[in-house]
Amino acid sequence: MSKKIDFFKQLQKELPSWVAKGWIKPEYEQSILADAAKTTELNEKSTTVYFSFMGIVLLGAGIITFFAAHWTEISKLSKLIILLSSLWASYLAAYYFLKQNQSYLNRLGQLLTLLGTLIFGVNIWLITQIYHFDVQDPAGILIWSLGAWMVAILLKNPFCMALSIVLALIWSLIKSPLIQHIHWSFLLIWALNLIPLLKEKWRGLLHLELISLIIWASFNLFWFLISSVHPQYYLFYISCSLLLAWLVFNLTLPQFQFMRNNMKKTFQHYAALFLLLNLFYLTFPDLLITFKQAPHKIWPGTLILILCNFSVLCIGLNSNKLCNLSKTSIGFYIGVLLVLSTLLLLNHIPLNPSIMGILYNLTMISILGWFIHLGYKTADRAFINLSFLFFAALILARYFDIFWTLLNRSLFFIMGGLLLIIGSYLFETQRRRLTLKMNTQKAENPKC
Amino acid sequence: MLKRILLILLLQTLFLVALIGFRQWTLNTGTPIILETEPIDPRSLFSGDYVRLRYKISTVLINPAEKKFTRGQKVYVSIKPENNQWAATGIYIKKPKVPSDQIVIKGYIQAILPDNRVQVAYGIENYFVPENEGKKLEQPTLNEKVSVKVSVDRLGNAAISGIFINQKQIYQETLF
Repeated sequence: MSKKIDFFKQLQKELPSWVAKGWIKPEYEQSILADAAKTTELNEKSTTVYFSFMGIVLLGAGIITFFAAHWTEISKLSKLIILLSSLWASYLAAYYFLKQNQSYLNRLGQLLTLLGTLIFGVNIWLITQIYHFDVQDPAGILIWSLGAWMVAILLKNPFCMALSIVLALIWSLIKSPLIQHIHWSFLLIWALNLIPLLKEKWRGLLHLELISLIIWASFNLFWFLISSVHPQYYLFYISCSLLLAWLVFNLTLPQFQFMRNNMKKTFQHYAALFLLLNLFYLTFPDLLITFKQAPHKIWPGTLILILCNFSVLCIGLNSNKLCNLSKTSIGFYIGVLLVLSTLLLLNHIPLNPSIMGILYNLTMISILGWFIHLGYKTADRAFINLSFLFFAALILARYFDIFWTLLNRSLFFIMGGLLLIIGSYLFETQRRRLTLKMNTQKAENPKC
Repeated sequence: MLKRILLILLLQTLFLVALIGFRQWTLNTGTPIILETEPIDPRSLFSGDYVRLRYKISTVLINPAEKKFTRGQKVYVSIKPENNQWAATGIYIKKPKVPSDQIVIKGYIQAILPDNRVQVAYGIENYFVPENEGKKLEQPTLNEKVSVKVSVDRLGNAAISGIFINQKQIYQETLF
């Protein structure tokens, strides 16, 4: 806030000299100052509002602490009255501020709506405690998430949307070990959350939504790895995750205009991240040895996903409309998909895991190289950063795999340290050189 | 805007009231049974103690020839009184029809145990008591027996309606 005030003061000092130099007309000086003053005043009021909100939160915390200390002395009926009236009070207070004309008061209204949603969750928790419900079942968290979702939809509140996404993820992470299986129901709630995100174009929340999906998928895969409940399906799940990520990546080609470009870019980046993450798992020979091959009877699932990928690719790859990708790139794209598909189908056949591991490593290096080329051509720094990150991770992982048993321990750590220092310097230098070159050159087609 | 806020308030309040109402319906209309316990007490993160309860019917014998049960699966256990205690007579995937001297209680498989047994949770394994009073139920003396009065409704849902020590009622569940 002080930066805005400093800017206003600086403006007050500079404007007369600008008028004297003839850069602006004298009549504009007052209009500019009046406009800047309004913004500064608004920001000052915002500061007051935010501090007031913090005060409300502290006051609320004090009231909650007071009731918590005397909770067992209060009758059930009084507890229910306190819980329900706090819920009503926060939403009605939110309504009062939401119907005001000033944006900073509307923001306070949105925060009070979030408070109401938080109180709803607390109410669920306390009522289950008062009436001795089974606390092991996380169904209450699901209901809380859906309550937040409803508020986000009806009042177009991004804070409640964020709460809904986080709660849905927590619900699933608790539920999965209880049912000893992948918690597929999460995907339904995830899809439900995606609808308002895309409709309201909440791009920041789209990041949160996609991160929650990656966390869910990674948790389930790692949980399978640790628990060894269904080892024969492990490779199959990774293959499917990889192919689904690739499918999303295909759908973000410029031809598919079902969403805005900046939203598509977000999907594309996270699809690339998820793809690389799953491929990274497959580069570990020990993993392939442990889980052997995926069961024969479920190879049609892998095949269907591969066919979906090729279908989307055929529909999308129209070289007349495709921008920024050379024929070499397109050829490489198709080639990588072919190689990857073959390798994933080979998961269902008992081949030498070491050979498979080498092939996956080579495929990953090729894909990383292609992503760097893609990022450079389309002026997309995210691909370059992602590729360098995974390249570094790949080298580190292979270093550990190869030298952990071959080298003396101290020599291993010394060499590892040197590798990290030199490697990080080289990678960072290369990455900066590439991104700088990319930024200074014009994209071949700015519409891409 | 006001209509939307009122809709949100109405739905959320209705849900909370329904939660209480459903529990009260089980307590008021359910068949009362007395179960003896084997308590273990952890502390709740919130104020108050909560007592973790286990019952004789928590462990159920299964027929190895029948369908395999999995952890987290919903099951129905038929119970009948035997020697002043309720004992499990069978475990089913779907709610069975039972003779009038038996009742069916709904639960979830918590663990698959050796010797053809499963551990089942019925939603009556926790009870919140005022702070520092959990020990009475957690560590009864040798001649003290803790038993729990449970209501089981016609859908198989169970709810604790009272706690007894040596048949003397210590806690009673009411609406308010």
